[in-house]
Amino acid sequence: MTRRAALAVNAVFLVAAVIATGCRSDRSPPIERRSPLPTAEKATVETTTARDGAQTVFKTGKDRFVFAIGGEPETLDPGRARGVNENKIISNLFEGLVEVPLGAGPVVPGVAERWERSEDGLSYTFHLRKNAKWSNGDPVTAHDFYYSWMRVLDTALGAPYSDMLYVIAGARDFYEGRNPDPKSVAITVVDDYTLRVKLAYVAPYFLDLLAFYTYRPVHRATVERHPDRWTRPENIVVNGPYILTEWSLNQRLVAGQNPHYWDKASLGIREFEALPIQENTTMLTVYEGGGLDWNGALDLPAIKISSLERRPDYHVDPYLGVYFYRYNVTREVLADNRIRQALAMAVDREAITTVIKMGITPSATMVPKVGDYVSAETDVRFDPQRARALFAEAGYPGGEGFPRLQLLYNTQENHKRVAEMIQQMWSRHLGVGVDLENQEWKVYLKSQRDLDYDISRSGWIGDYLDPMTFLGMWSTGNGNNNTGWSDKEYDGLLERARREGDVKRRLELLREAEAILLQRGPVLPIYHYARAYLLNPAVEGFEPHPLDLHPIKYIRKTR
Amino acid sequence: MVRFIIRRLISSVLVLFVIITASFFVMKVAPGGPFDADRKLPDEVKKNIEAKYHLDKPLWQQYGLQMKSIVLHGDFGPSMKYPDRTVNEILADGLPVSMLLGVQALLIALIIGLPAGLISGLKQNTMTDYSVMTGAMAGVSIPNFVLGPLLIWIFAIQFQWFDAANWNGLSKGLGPHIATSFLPSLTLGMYFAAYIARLTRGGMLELIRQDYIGTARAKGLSEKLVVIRHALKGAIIPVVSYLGPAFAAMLTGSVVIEKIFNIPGLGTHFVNSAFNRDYPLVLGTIVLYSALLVLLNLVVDVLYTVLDPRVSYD
Repeated sequence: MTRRAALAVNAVFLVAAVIATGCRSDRSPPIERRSPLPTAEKATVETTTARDGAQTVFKTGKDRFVFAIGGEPETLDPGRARGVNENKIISNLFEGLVEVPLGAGPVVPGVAERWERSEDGLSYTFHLRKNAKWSNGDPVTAHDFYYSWMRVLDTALGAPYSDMLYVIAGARDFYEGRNPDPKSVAITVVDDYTLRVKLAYVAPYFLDLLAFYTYRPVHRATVERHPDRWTRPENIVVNGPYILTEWSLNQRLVAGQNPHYWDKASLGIREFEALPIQENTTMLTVYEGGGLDWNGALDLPAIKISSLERRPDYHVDPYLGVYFYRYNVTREVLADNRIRQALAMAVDREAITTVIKMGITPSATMVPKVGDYVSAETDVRFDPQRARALFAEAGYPGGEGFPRLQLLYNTQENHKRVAEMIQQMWSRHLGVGVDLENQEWKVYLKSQRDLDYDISRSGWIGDYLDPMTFLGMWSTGNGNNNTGWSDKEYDGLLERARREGDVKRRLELLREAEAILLQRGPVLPIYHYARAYLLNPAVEGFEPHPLDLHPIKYIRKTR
Repeated sequence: MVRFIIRRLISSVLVLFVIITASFFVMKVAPGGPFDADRKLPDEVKKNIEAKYHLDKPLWQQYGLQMKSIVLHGDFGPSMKYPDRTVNEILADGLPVSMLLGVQALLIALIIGLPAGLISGLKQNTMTDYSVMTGAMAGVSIPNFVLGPLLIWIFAIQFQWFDAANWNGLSKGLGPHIATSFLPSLTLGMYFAAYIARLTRGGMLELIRQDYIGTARAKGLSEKLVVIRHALKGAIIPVVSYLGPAFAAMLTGSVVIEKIFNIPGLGTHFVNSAFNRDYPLVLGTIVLYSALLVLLNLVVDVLYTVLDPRVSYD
């Protein structure tokens, strides 16, 4: 639009605005601006200038932190939650035995000030700090954790992540009713401030699990007094740094400091606000209007990435997730590993990541970099010549006689772009015809579960910082396998890893398992995720974290 | 008249019954369920949750339970997506927002549309008439998903007069409320403003040629009084009969605008509940929307008889 045309348009709308709001005076703006900045702050408001001239003047305030979540949180009950949006709030309201640190690194003390791990790696003893309090002044004790965890294992609650507790000895049998005795679950309250847990198998990531929301404590008296309404601001009792003060459906969640929090002195933010926003383009306009400090749980709009990545407030951090395709190995042609390998070798991952951008890295492995784990080597790399040779060996020289493949993905622009590129690569290098089929999310999930597909777009974000979160699902009959693939050797390696007390040796076993997965598994890894985000430059105490966790406890704002 | 209203109310109940029944079975046919996610729930866990919401019962029993709860208690039950809330609470939260947005949009539509139409009608075939009608044509044809972002870009990002999105209820004060609600109301009202302008102009043109207007002029009334006292009332009839459907269309048509401006109204739930397979909420929104539509149509039909003596239902 030319400048004059723009002015004309502005004039028309200005008139309309003045008429509609009944403002007669042509000198005062028709609408008072929301929460005008105090004069002192006006001079120093943070300004971000992008190359295209757009400016962001942040209006969120020095002691407030405002971020977006991708929709209304389903619940704020740690035991019933199941998602990223919920986690962004719950982890700041409830404090676990151990806590997420600032940035990547091992967990730090939370309610537990120290803990011991037994030689065989199966027993943990936690010593709780005596000054930890609930927001109503009650002390936080080992009984609170016992109650909260047993509550998650109570089938009546309908906790979606009950299986997160299966790592505790006896938990699974109790939940599934094979042993109705609650005492069979190996959680022991030694005294008010000592809690002992025995694991069902070796899981060095148990401490990371403890920082997961399902393990965070709830206040028994409050939960029992207001069963379905205890998370409302008027009822809620928390033990974390912040306490919910406002929760308006689909509008905003606001939380202020918990006056009884044991480490209250270290808090820098007075109040945080989470805005449920569904559309990432809407989120971006709100951010550009200065209404957000961080895009939070929302992705940045893919179509805007090229211009966004030139901004100084644009960042990319590694993110523990993998984007891959599943092969349905119950399909006759895909049961042949040579075909699966050939298809993988015909995919030029770099070509894909240069188009999709957002900091993602092309990768032929299933486990992203996590802790000390080094991914398995694989020779299944982009190599069209070998791909063609394998195809010929399997009986389809030049793709002749090969049936058309259906490629399933859930409706989304980026998935479509990747699928189209791969469709083209397979056609060019192997002569394979591919039909793209996109389905709405829940329909897609069902198709995948029912093995009603040939090849399916998939993604997996780690639940905790350990390779097991990416490898466990491929064992025989696992509910998230969804490929029909089964490999005795693979299952055996995972089983051995679960019994291996030596941390190094355990990672070796997992690495061997991943090698099998890449050599003859049902997956075609494409890239590892990254988290692209916009952050108010005035924010400090916000470090890269592989699961995108940023405790507000550590956040400060310079302006 | 009373008999007419009673008859209409009875048939409305039947209509609602058919809608609930049809919606119930159609939504159950859609693949997938409320508790499906990319991380699959262990079978035991899923079984427990489904039992909690009676999803393990045969379909006809689920239907029976749901109907009983709706008819006897007016209760749609707990939301499956938001376990901390009941459907009734969610609807009670969203309806006032959508209503307020609708009323504001309607006001804007009338404030812009009526005068524009009147002027245009009185100055038929002049430059003024042509410009207004061109504007109206533009208003009818620009889709709201184009107009919305355009208004945001101009007034929220460039001039920063209004907020780009989100919603402050009236409880937050008039200023903050207008800051968030003016742009969406304008976006929503624009199409209707244009339509009302055209209707008013049409009504005006028809009326101004009537004999009784000639009589009024012959009595020596000033042109201004002729328009205000006699022509206006007649010219407004088509507009009034349009208001009911218009308001209904605003309520149901605000889905896109609620998305663009991130407004916590009913439209959001209307769309998302279907994607989430949140069965009770799907049913709740459908029933509420249908009831509103039926009711608004009835009100318009009744208003018609009041405004236009030629219409009678007896």
